[in-house]
Amino acid sequence: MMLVNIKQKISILVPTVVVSLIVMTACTSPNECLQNMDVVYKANFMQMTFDQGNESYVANQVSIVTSVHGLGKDSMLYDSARVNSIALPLQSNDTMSVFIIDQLAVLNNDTVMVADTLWVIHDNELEFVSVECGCAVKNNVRNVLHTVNMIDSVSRVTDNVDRSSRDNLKIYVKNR
Amino acid sequence: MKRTTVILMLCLLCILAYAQRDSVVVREKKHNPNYELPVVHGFSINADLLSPVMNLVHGQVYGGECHMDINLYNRVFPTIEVGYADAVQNMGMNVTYKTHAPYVRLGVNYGLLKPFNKSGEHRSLDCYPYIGLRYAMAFMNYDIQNVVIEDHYWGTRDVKSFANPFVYSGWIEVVAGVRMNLVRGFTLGWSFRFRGLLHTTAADKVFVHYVPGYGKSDGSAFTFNYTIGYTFSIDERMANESKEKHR
Repeated sequence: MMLVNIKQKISILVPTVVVSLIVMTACTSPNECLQNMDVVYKANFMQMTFDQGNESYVANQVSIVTSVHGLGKDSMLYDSARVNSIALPLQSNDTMSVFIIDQLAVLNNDTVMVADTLWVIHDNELEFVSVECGCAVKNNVRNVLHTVNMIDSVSRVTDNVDRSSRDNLKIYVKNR
Repeated sequence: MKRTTVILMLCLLCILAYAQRDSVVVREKKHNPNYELPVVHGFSINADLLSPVMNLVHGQVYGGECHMDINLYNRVFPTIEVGYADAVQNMGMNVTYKTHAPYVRLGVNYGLLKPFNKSGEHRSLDCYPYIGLRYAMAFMNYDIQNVVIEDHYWGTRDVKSFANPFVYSGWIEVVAGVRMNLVRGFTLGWSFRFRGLLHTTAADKVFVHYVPGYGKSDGSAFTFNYTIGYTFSIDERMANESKEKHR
C-alpha cells in the first residue's frame, strides 16, 4: 500500500521535473548582443531660404552631394553621396575629432568640390552596456569649430552623443 | 447641604455602577483548535536537486543550496534558504564574467491545507501545497575581464576590465509549491518561483550580469526548485497529549 502511495507521488513529481527542465533550458538566452552600439554625432545640412509670403528667411533641411572623411584617414565616411544628414564617429581615445567635409559647388560655371574642416571638441565617457555587448563610448561635445568655405554656420542641438540616434548638430551651408 | 451632597454622591455612585455593568461584558474565550500547543511540530532540512542539474545543463555555474524550515501549527513555515554559486561565463570576444558568492533567502511558507480535521484533531499532512514569500540577498564579487572597445573608423582598440570588490544584490520571490512525505520522514518537493525587484549597489544593473541565487539579471523571472529532505517531526500522539494537558 505504501509502495503504491510512493509511486503515485513520484508519478506526480517526475513529469513536473521533466517539463520544468525543458522550459528552463528553452528559456536560456543566447550570448549575443542585440542592442544598438553605434555612437555617432549626427549633423543635418540646413540652408536658409527667403520665404516670399512671410518675407523672412526660413531654415530648411537640404540634400547636398558631399564626401566626408576624418583628418588623417583615407577611408571615406561618405563618398560623393547625396545626403541631407551625416553621422560622424567621434574618437574614443581623443578629445578632438576633425572631419573634412567636401561639398559640390558651382564656381565660375565650374562644378568643383569645396572642402571645409569641422573640429568637434568633446569629452569621452565609457558606458558599460552589457556583458554581451561590451562597452560604448559616449561623448559630450564642448565646442564645434569650422572653416567657412561652404559652411555658413553651425548650431549645436544636443551635446550628449550616445547610442540614441538624436540630431546633434545643424550645419548651415551657403547658397551656391 | 450635607444631605444634598450625600444624595448627589450616592446618585453618582449608582450611575457609575450602572455604567460599569453596561460596559464590562465578560465574553467567554473562544475555543480555536487551530492554534493550540504545541507550536512547533517539527523542522525540515532540504537540499535543492535542481541546482546541480542546471549546472550540468548550462555549465559554467557551480553551486548548490539547502532549505531549512520550522513547522509552526502545521500551517506556517518560517524558512531560510542558503546557497553558494560560482559562475564563470565566457561571453564571446574573450569577455569573461566571473562571480562567486553566498546567498540567503529569508521568508515564510503558508500551508494551504487546514491542519485540523472537523473534530479538532491534528491531521497528518502527507502532501500539502503552500504559497510563500522570500527576500533574498547575495553578497557578491564580480569580475568582468577583456572588454574590448574598438573604434572601427579611427582604428583604435582598448581593453578594459571591471573588477569590483563587493556589491550587494537583493530581490523578492513569490513561491508556490508542494511538499510530500515520501517515507519515514523523507520528503520530496517542488516549488515554482517568480522573482523580481532586483536591486543592487553596483553602479548599474548591467554590471551584475549573473547574480548567485537569482541567475541572469536579464533572464527569466520564473524558476523552479526541486528538493529532497528530511523532516524531524514531533510525534502526533505527543502533540495530542500536550494538547490534552493544556486543556
